[in-house]
Amino acid sequence: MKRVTAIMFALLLSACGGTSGGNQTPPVQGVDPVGSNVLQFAVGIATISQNNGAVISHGLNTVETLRQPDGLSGLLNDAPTITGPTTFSISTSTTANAPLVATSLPATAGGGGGLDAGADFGTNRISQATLDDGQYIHFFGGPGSSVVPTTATSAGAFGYGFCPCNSSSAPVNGTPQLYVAYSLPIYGGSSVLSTIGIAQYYGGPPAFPAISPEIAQAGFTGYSMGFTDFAVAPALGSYSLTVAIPPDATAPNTNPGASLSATAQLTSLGGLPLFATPAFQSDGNGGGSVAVSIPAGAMEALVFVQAIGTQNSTATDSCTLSHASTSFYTIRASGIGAQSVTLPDTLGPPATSGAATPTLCHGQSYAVYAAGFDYPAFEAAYPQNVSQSPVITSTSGQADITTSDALAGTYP
Amino acid sequence: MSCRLWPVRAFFVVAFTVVAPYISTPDALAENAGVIRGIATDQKTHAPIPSVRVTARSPSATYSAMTDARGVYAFLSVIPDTYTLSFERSGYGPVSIPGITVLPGSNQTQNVALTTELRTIASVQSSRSAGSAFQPGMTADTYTVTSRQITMVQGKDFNPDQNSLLRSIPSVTIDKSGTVAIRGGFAFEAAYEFEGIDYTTPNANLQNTLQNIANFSMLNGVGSVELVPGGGDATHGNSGTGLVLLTAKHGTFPAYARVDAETYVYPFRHQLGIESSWADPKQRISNYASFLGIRQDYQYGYRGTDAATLGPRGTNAATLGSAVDPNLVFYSPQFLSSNDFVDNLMWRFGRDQRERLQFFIQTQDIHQLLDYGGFSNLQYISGGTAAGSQVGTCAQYPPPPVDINENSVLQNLACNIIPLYPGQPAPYSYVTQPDQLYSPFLAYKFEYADSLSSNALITARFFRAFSTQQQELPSQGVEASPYGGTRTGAGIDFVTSLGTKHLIKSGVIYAFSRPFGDVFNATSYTAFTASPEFVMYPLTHNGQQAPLGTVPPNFNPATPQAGSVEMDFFTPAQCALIVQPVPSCGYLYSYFPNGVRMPLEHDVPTAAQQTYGAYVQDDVTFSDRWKSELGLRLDGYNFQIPQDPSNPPGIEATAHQRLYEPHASLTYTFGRHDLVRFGYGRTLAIPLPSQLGANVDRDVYASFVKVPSYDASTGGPAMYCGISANQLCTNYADQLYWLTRDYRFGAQSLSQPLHGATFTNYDLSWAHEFPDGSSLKITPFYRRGYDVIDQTASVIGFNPQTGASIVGNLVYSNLGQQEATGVELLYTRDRPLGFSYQIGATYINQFGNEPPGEYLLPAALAAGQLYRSPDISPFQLNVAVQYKNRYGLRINPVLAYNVGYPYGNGYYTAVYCGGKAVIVPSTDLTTPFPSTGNYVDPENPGTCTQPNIAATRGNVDPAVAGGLLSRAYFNLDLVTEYTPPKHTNITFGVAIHNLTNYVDNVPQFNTCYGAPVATGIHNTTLPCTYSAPAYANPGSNFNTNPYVVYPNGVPLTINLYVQVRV
Repeated sequence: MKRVTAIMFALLLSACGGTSGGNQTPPVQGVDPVGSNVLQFAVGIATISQNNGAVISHGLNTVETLRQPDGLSGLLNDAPTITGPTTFSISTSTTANAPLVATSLPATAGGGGGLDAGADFGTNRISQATLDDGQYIHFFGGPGSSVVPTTATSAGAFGYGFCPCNSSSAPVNGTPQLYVAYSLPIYGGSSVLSTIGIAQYYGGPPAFPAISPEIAQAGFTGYSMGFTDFAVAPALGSYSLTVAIPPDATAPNTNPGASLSATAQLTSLGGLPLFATPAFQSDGNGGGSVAVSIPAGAMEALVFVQAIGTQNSTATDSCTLSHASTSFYTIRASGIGAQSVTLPDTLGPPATSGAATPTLCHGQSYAVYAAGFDYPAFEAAYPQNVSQSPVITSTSGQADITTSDALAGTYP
Repeated sequence: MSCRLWPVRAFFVVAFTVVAPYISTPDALAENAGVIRGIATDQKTHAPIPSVRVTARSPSATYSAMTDARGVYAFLSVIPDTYTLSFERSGYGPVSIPGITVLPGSNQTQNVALTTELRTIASVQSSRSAGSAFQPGMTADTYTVTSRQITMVQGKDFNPDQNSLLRSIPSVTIDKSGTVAIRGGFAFEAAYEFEGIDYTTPNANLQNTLQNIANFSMLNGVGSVELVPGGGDATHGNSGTGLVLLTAKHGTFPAYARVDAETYVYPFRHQLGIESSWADPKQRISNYASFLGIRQDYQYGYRGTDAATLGPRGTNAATLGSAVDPNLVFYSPQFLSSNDFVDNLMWRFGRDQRERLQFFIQTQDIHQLLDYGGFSNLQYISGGTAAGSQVGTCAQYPPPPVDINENSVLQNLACNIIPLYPGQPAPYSYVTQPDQLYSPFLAYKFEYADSLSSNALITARFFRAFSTQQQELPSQGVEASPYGGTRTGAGIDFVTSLGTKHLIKSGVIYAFSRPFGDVFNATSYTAFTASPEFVMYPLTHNGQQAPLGTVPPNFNPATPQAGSVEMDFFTPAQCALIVQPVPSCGYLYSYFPNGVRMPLEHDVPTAAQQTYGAYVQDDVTFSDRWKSELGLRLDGYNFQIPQDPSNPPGIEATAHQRLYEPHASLTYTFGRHDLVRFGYGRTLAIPLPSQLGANVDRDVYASFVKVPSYDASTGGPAMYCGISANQLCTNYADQLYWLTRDYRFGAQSLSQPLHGATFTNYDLSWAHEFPDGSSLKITPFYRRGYDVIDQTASVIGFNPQTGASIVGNLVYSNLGQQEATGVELLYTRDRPLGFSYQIGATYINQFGNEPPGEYLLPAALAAGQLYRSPDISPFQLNVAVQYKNRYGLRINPVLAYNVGYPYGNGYYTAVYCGGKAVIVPSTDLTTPFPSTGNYVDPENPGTCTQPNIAATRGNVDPAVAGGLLSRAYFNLDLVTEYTPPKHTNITFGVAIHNLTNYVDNVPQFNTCYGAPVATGIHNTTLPCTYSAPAYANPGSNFNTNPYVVYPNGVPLTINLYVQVRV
């Protein structure tokens, strides 16, 4: 019996070897979101050009960053709410400086014409529900998918701008909900950019790094520009952004939920001047040059080129096949006044062989538009900026923008 | 260790033990008999004595022989039993040696020295059991479990649980899904024989695709078990990582019969066992028969637990593209009915009964009802989500205008075109009977043996095995009826003794395997809801997982992909309901004005197989201390693959393969109680015919032959037919066939055709016998596999209810890797009374490229990622103790323990970036379905190789999958029996299984863990719903842990039994 006991003891001791790791379910470690994250909020005037500059509207611009110490988005699920001063209302149709487009406003409670403010109508509040509205969200997806409004989305405040990307709203157990740009301005409907109907601002090449095919396939179209403007008359005063952090389901009593808040002041209704519609000259090789006139007051400008997806085309050349989905290109411009920037020839999505493709294919539809900023919008953007507190205001403390109408065309 | 003298009661015994230490452990011999041979010499002169009459007598048989001029005698075909050897010659005193245990293939040398003096032989010390860990002269590493040891490790007689028996043997580990592995190999890499009949089924087991035998409860009428891990010797082939040999009991004289009746206290279980053993007084004719009948309910988890909350039990069953997970407890067996009959008839005839004719048969009839927890809320697999029973009609659709993305519209339309399960009344019908599995099995053999002379034996046998499983799984969408195969074989073995030093064995064997069966699958319509580009992707991008973002979220027919054939089946009226009409909608209407449904998939077997083997082996006895074994075997097979260009096999394979397998071992016995042994062997694991995949039968598409081919995405004929998915489809039937076939067996363009895996095995043993008769054997080993057959599969979707991944078609390749080292320990002590022990332990350290709990992804295979012991515990211990006294009491606890199983999804994974397989952090980008713990920043995701992880689930996973170890597994069974001393023919017993009520399964990745945020605070909104029956939230711990432990093991059970012996 002693021998047996000794053998078993030795066996059990030897059994202490084996794979590393504990023999219990690994513990969960949490981070205090209030203590570790920094929320920044800025407001300004959005100067919106319509009808090729014939109509100028002034709305409210917002810029937001919510970042953790390493500069990445601080939360993957939250509920933002913007509350303006008491004189701010989601219904007023005019400002002191210029009338807003009659067809865009007033915002209504029930929708129609893309002005669905829902429960926010008549209040001084822009809630998550507005940002969740599918009419402002158009998802291009990967090759073969259609441009469709997304459903079951939930908006949150992320590292650089709002996004309908809350993780719980991802396609059910499917691919991640990567950044989708809003069709701006919110409340503005599809008629704001009369020519193309959908105004989305993505950071793409050459100003931003080219997106790898795998990331593009997963649904990442481009980087956020960080701003969200609203086709609603701004009011002077204090604006606050409150980000609600969901409670901890594992310990609801000890972590019942929290919130982060930041305020911003709107001290001037002046805004930036009109940004004229850019002009585009093809070079016949897939690229071309864009002529812009950067308005005074803008410290920088970005030119956006949208290559409309060719998925319904019957052509079978490699360029057309590679451009099945819409692509976005972004070109930096600085200085004031007339500028000419170059759209390189071979920025298109790579072919299945891996070869580069033209930026624009022959016969492909495109749109060109621009935005000017009085704050370092590009410098604060991902992926180049992973500071927890990037600068998002001008020296005046506001974040004014001016957006042009779009030039639509067909690449020869 | 004390060095007291051994008990000596007769001088002869001492002399005997000095001159005859070679009671060797069984070598694996092709036949099911043993060898006893030796030399009779004069004790004084040491001269050999001719004409000594030698008799071996046991209850099963009696053999007689005469020593030749050299004093040599040999019994070359002794059926297993315990014999008494007697030596008689005029002028010498008779000698009797009892307790000589013969097992299949054993090779024992019993020399005797005769004297002219009269000897009265008293009882001698019991010869050591053949199941002892110490077997002097053993060559091949073998573990033998005798009938008495079977009772001890099983707790009682008539226990058919083969897993618990094999678990007690060193080298065997039970993986976390309950599958047996020998030295870490896959279950289908081991071989099983019962009475020399190869029990390998041509088709994989439908219930457990990792196993290659029909049923696993085969312990009926088993007299002994021999396990040969690793190389073994040359007499057995296709043994892969190891060989399990079962030998049936034999008829005896005097005859006996036993009845065992059992009942469980809970859950319901009745068992009846009857065995009879008979032989005539001269033991010319003998017969053993045994019947075992079982009727039982299954119980998973604690009593009263809702089956819908118990989650999955393992990863045994195939989940090929199925929307349901058959591993869920909800689909597991609820009731078993089993009838098992064994008969072993023997006729010995001829001079000195040197000839033997044997007939053996086993027939099993097993029927299981599945859907534990009830089937009343189960729909047919193609049913929709409408509540309640709507037999006869599809649910009404809302009036237009409706949005194309309104799922209810397409759901309603889809119900008109999705295939119906055989016998299904309507799409939304609820099933009226549970899923069922039938597993009849029949095996029989005829064997003839003839001792041609005193030193030569020939054995010939013919056998057949029939495995015919049948599945009726309406809620899982599969019907297989019948499904299985036949195996027919014949072999000849020849044994001859050359002098006293050489025992030459040679033989040949041939077997023919023919798989058969029809499988109807109602889930393959998903091939028609996806775009052909997606379905063909494994062909056009061999071995590569589909790029991120191209995998559809689920296979709901309400969300067909662009270009899929689904809308071809709609009528114009149905197409009009779609707000954004697709130009090609309703293509088939003009050919089928009354509407048409998608056809079922019908799979039929592909290839028959011939296997053959030949061997020659020399067991050399150099001296009293040195013994060796040298052998060479040739194993080979031919696949008979149909050459039909229009219907090629699903998986390409090598039609012919041969392997020469050397085997060598050397044994040195030092002292009387110690030996060391070294062995080397090379083995082949012949691939199963089912691994070549099935053929998709074209007949189900016959009605579409006259319809021109059409590709909705181009408007022209489809161009994705042929084995490379680039040929013109000759008609619509052709394109439906290739879509189905490529969805099921897409990536058949392997770099090399599939062929059998080979293994090399080295082991070194040290065995010691203690003064009290107990013994210890320690065996370190090294085993390596080459061209191991591995399964890869891409994750192609997910179960929208559970979040579990759905894998696509399985691709078999020879890119698997296996390398294992370890140590085996066996301690035995066998006593008729008092304490007996059997302690078996296995430590194994195995590396392979099979990840735990998931199919091997193509990128991981290409990247050469290795995992450690993916499904087996690194250390396993089995302790069986028996206490028996002369008052009739027997107490028999059996402890099974292991240190835990590997689990954990790991921090890194393999994925294709830029067309190259790389190891990257596992995020929701690289692992598009919920089996990752890391989430990228939506606004700054990073790149494929350097993702920016903004949030985690809050737990730290080790680098690779399987880096965590679950809680130690502990199971204690206790059997208590009482046999009244005055009524020894009756025994009462109580058997308690799982005394500690341990029911926890291995932790599994919790796909429903709360939405992740960087801070670790979790949202209450879960990504998966578990809302619709048959699924349900497992309980309060489900939302609060990254890994969830389902308590779905078999709980404590108590059964009462009585055994009567006549």
